Amino acid sequence: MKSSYSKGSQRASVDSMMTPMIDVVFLLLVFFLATSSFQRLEQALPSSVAAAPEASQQGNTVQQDPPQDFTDLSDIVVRIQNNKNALTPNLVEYAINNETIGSLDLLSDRLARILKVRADIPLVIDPADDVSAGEAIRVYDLAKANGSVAVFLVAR
Amino acid sequence: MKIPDYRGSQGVNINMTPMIDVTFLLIIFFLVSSHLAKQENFLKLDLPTANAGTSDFSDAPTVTVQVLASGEYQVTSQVMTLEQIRRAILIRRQTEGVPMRIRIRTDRMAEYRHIAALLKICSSTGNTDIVFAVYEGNKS
Repeated sequence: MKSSYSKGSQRASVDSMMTPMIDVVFLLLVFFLATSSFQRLEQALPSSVAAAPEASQQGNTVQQDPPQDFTDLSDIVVRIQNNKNALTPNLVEYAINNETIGSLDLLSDRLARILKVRADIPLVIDPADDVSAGEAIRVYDLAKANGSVAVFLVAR
Repeated sequence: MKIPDYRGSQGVNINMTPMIDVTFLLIIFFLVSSHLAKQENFLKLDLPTANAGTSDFSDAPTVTVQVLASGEYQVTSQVMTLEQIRRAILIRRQTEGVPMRIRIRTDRMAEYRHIAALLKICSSTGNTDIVFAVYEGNKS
């Protein structure tokens, strides 16, 4: 059998072999460029919600956080507020059960100590209205990272 | 005139290369277009970062609510008010018959009041499976 590649000089044979190879190589290049996504991978952070008592009375809800726990002293409320009197207005300040805590590191330290004693203590995160969502998620993540098994975000 | 004789043992020699080229091209076209269709209704948002996030492999029926930095809500790339979101969740819940997963994609600069209001709607409609979309934090 005579193939088109077998006749002619050696040079012509190499030339005619190159074209489909370049085709395929370009195609693979385009394929990998297109399929490699340039977006950062998104992950999911599961969260639980603590609703205020009046919300749960009207609601038909199955809440993970019973309303009476909300005011009970056996749980820990972490408040987040924008620091208004500081020179840098973007800083936020934290408070655990009304005791102000200056920085995220101190908060992390305090939470770690509390959670070491009791990891299942309900932790309610209550950011002020004007606090950014990023800050709220950061504290939520911090509590999870310190081993808390019951963290709740406040719903209003 | 000589009539070509195809009855020999040789048969017709088909060149496979262009066919493979075209086939690959079609495969890539469909792959890319489906990829784009999937991402089309997701806004480019600056999501919060978290270390406790996990890969989301759940195939539960999901409603994705996007919260822009301005506090605007979007569901399937439609701007919605809270009341409209509540109705959309209830309708979806009725058709699915099971509690749904609510996925909140929020910009990290959005104010918490918008999130809190959304969370309240989630719990008042009986959906406790709430996940936030986050970027993986740099563990420093």
